[in-house]
Amino acid sequence: VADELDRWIAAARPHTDADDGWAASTAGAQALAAIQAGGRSRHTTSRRRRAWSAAGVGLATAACAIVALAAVGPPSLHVPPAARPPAGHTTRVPLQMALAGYNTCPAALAALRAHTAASTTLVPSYQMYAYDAQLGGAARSAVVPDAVAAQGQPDHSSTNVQEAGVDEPDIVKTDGTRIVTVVNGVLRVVDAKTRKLTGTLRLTKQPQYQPANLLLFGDRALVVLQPQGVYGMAQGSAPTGAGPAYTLVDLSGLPTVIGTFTPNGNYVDARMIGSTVRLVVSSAPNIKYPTANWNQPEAKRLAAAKSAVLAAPLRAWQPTYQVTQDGVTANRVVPCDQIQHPAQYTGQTMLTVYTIDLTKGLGALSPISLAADGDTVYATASSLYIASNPAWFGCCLRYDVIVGGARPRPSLPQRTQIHRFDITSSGAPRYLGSGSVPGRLLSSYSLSDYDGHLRVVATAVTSKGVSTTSVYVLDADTLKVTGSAGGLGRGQQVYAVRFAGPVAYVVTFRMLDPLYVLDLHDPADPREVGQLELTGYSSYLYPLPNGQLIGVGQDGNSKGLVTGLQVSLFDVSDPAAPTRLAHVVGRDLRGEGQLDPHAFLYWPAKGLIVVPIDTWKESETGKALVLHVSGSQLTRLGTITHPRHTGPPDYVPGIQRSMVVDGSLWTMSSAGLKVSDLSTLADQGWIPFS
Amino acid sequence: VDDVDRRAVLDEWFRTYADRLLAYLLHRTDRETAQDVLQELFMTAYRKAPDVPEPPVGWLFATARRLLANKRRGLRRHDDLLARLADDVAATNDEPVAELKQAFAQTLAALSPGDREVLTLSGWYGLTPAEAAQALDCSPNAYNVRLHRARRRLSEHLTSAGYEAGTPAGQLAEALRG
Repeated sequence: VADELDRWIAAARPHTDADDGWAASTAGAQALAAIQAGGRSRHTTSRRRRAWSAAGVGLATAACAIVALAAVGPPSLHVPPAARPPAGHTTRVPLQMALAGYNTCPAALAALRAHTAASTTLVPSYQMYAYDAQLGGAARSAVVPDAVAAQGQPDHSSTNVQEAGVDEPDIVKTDGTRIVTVVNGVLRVVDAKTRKLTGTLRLTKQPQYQPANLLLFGDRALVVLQPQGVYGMAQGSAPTGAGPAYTLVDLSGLPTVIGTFTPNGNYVDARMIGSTVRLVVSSAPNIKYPTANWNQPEAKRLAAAKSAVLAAPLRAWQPTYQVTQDGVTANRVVPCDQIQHPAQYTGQTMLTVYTIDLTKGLGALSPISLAADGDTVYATASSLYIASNPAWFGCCLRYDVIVGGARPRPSLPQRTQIHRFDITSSGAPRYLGSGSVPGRLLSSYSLSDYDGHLRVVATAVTSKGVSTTSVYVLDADTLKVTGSAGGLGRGQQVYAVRFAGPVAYVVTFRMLDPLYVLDLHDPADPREVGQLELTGYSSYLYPLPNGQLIGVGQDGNSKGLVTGLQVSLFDVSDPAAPTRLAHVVGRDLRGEGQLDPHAFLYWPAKGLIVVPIDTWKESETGKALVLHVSGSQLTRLGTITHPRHTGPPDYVPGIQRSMVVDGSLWTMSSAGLKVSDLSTLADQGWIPFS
Repeated sequence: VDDVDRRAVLDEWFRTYADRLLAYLLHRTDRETAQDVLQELFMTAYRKAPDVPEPPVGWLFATARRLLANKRRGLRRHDDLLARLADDVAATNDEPVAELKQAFAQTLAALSPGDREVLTLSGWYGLTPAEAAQALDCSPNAYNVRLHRARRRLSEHLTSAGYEAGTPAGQLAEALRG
């Protein structure tokens, strides 16, 4: 029994640098030489003797209840060899999935403290700015949601979402009879038939630009107002309190606020299935770190920071939120029995999923928290996935413990963690487990749950600094990789990923645009089956049901220079031989940046494609390009322009979204909504927002 | 005993025990302090060689503990062992092992520093009960009582933290009860 026990305890022993024959190594020999040199100095030893002999007794008393003089063991006792790292033990430990919950609140606290302390690092102040910028970038890319238009909605288009039936927040929504928009903090309702503004609701105190999105179900809209300013990093690591605000609005009459929900933390994303919205918020533990004493050595500062973590109350990690409804404001805390964790985590970020049924209000938000990082949200009708891109350097940076040498943690591999939740019930999601793949994701479009498998496209950087992209197939139940295919676009950046059933399309680019076709029928053996090299690239791919693929991106020349907006029509019916059927290039329409998938409209009934044009060219910017696709032809129908805003300031408002409502083409800019004829693009109406 | 003999003895002790002693120190303090303490320890051993019992491992651990306690008193109050364990949990890739380590770390955190010493001395550094008793400056009997109690407390904490049979940590709790 004692041996068994010691074996378990030995398995929990942290490996140290002294474990691999240190005494016999050069370092050990040097230490011994130093001891021998010092040992000859009578002065040093006598001083040191005084130093410890007085202090030793007290400790011995503390360690052993019964103080006795040293008893010498029997001389025949065998001295076992030095304890070795538990390498041999690891395989003997029976495999068992880690517990997801903490079982008790004290256990939650102990584990959160330990994990957070372990991941706390010092960061030099000059890197903070870089980190902020990157964090903002990551958050932005995560918020770029995207979509495949829900098919079978005959009379109006809907937000171009990634998964049919899983709605994503956007700046405009329509149910076919009305158009609801949120621009500059104002919600507006426009009647589709009369083309009149029927309702206005100001959601911010002052008219100001504020990122906002909304979801619409029946007569209810949920508006997400994101706070302005620096993303993510709250001063002193504490949550700012200026988190996103979710306002539930009743649209049955004039728009009125039903209630507001304000979680502490950062908006990550949201998805709606039916009337049920899952809101993902991330928050940092609110730990009071000591003010950095710059005269202290790094080890001491780090120790002080870790001590602060080890002394923090559970409340520091528990996410908090505020609900205002019927004139009553309540501050609430996610209960500790609703906090779970993956097998490995840093404790530096908590992800919380809140559930709101738009038909029911803000009563029960059923939050559950996972001690994990996350910035990318992907959902199907039954599963919610939250993925965290690997930290850029070190995971966990804190303003006030900063300073000293850079401490990137090379031990942190560049892996993307993926957490899966069951959302089949309308209540709180159920955490199912986590997995990981090497590298980073482009966006939620890099994830796809299909036929019991989660497919992931990730780009990793090799030790030589060369990026390479792979597709991984994971068993959705265990989140273990069943197969992978790598080596796509060596040294290139991923510009677009699109899954279409058992096939994946990946676009990488540096000078040329290889469009890769991947066959994922066999989860154990995904493989690249086709490739098409073109100049320029596509940053958005939209699969058509007939084996064709639309690509929207930038045209380029053979030197890799981008020359202008391009829309391509590919034939991918033979996965081994993808071809480009047609191609519209606007040399005068030089686009900028990635296309937001929500800005893409495909209206199958008329074979219409609408994409916004964003360019520095004053005469062309802000327009929407309308194309027609038919058979293997892709033709340019024309452009739509919104009325010039006659100053000050004097500008052309950029078209951000397009939709088909009540038989007309509607386009939206920050200035208003324009109605155009679906065939001729002739003006039918203008509804200004001011 | 002349200096030549002492040096030979010191070399022998260093080669045989320095690994385990340094590991003990590295589990409990930063690298710099660990190396300082190790150096002081062997310098003390060199000086007191005629009085050191044979085998010296219990005495060496007892002295290392005293020297470290003395250093720690001047540097910081908190126990680095828990932070080491936490670091180790985070760096462990094998999930069941990570869970076991986490369970051990979180329950150890709830125990007294004395209990932590008792539990790790034999399991981590290969000390026999007699040597461990010597390292803790107590009789083998007292050590056995102490070990028994510490194991019971560890087991209770594992159970109350909800680690049940079927998980590695639960099996640890089982073994502790057994």
